[in-house]
Amino acid sequence: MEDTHTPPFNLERFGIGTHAYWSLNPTGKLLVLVHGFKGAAGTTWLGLLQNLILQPQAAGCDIISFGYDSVRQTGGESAMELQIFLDKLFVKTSQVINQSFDDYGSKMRRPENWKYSQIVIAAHSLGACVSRRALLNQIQSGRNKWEVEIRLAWFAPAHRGAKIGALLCAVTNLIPSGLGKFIDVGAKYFSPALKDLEPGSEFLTELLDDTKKLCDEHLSLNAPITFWVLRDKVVTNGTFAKDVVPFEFVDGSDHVSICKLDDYDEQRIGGLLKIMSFT
Amino acid sequence: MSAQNLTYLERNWLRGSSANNALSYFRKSTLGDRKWILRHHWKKDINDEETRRRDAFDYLLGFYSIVEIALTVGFVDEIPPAFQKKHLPILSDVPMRRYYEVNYQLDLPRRLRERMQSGIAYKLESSPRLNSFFYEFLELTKLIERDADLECFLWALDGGWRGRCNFKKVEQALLKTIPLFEAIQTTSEKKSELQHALVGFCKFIQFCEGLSSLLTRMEDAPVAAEAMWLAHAYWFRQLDYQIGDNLKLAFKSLVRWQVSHKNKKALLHRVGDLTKLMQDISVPPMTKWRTGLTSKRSAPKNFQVGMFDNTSQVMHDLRKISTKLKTLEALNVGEISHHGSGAPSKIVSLPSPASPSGPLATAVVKVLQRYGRPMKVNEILMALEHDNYTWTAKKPRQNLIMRIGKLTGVKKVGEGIYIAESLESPPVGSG
Repeated sequence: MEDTHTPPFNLERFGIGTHAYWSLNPTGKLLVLVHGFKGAAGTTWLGLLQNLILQPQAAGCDIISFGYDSVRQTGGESAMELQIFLDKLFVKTSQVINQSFDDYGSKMRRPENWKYSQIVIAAHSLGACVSRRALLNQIQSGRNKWEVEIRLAWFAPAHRGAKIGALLCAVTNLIPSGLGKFIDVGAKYFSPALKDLEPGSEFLTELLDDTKKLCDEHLSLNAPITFWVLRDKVVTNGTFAKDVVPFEFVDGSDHVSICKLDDYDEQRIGGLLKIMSFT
Repeated sequence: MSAQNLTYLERNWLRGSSANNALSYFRKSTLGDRKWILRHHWKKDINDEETRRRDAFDYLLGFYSIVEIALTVGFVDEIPPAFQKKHLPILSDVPMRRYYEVNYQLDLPRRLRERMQSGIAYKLESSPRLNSFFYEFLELTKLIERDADLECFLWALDGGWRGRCNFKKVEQALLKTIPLFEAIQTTSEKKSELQHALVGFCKFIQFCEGLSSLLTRMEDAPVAAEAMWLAHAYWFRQLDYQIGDNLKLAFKSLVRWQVSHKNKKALLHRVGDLTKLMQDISVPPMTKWRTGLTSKRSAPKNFQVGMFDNTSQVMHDLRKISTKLKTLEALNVGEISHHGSGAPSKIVSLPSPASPSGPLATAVVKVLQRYGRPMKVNEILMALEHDNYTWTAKKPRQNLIMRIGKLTGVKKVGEGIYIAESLESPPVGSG
């Protein structure tokens, strides 16, 4: 068995720590992974990302892990950053890809007119809100229509709001998120992204309203798969607009570990591959 | 791809990093300069300027470690002559060798030097799976080597001061919830040294959990797993010294939080898991697998691993704290006791069958003489493994612990520390 992807290449001009595993035999498919609050492009998807590049069904698919400043930026600002990145990637595709190779190898370079045709955006927690907002912004702007088929996949999305104390606990990696109730009383929240994630926030309300308005016309807004943690203590599990139900409940995971894999997982890797097949 | 992959590693781990400064310093400096800059800190304390220079050399050695792992797993197929011409003189330089082979031992740069000099080295057949493990390892290495928060925490954990922050401050801050949660939400530019260290503590746990998970999956590639462990062994090998003690204090601080019975139970459970994690990661994966102690969180109840081996003491302390808080009676202590409690194993001393490698005493004395300094049992064990000593005992580490004090030519100079009788004993301490 041969390698199907390059080692990870940094896309330094986009976001924070954004990097890509480029397919050695690209078929025009792309998977973009978007982390959540306090996550990182390099560590949020540890194991899952490296497992994906071993799957024959993903051989022709480029995989990008997008990073952004989830602490300092509002959800809206992060969405804008993601939208700008995707816009650049879809409009000047070969330029963005080839620049990242630098001196790695001329064989890997994509022809000037090379384009993506299908893209899956998989996002975790806050990342789900950021990704949906980016897509809504692009649709609402009416400019530069992306000529790609888009699908969404969510991992414990926070689009119905999060219990902020529990989220803070979860992202420490130290403390069980069950302590959230106690933390709610003691801690102040001053990260703008956390304010956005409070149930009923302006950001989340707009996100739902805009999705409802546009999802019949733009079917890409309806996520075909959502992975939930059963009894997630961090985010509110619930339906959202016309995202496909029933959701997939992932056993034995918590809000953070739902993105990480120790081994091949039929449910998550298999589920993602199915979405990526666009059948 | 091989030559390209080496270029890839140079681009990401050498060029543009401070490792490059070490290369230019090496070219400009005299042998005497390097001998002084790379001295053991026992000779004379290291000042700030010297620390920066030595940091650059540490990054360079980190790059060499990554190249050695890349060659082991087949990500890089062979060393091009140009690379050898440029880097072998550095790895063979006497002050440099003293720095990484004697004063602050790093196995992987030594392996790379030996590989270039003799051609004898580990080499696995390249595979996409091994490459994917290697990519995961690189992500984790980025975290521990390039993250400002983690750097700050490790500095404090190692006994250092920065600004007004040292480990005592970290430990005190962890007694309450608010400093930690405020640190998490504070942007990098606004963070105090203490806030960096608090967030770094969280990231250190993330790093250890990530690496432990990766190594567990690599049981069928033990040579590669061991090499990845060795790349960060500086931290893991010291878990039985101050670093381990400091971590235990940090965990204890968490358990002192005033929370409900239910939450206290969850906290205790989590701290038990973290303690077990430290215990697991303090031992090289090959040693664990050879001794039959898998890292799947299922340590036999009566087996103590060693370096972070007073887990039961930690759990005992945690329970004591819990009792003071009058919550213990509400807890099911048995549920957490499997995280490492239990007495040391009782092994009946039987005559050992002869090893095809010859007597253990001769092999151990050879190791101790080669290193020329006091060594811990685990270090001796690893050196024996490196020498391909064949064990007849099922549990080499326990066997060595039981027998080492009685071996001819071996002298005990401290708790768990031995030296060759033929050598004079220098002062004992951690590098």
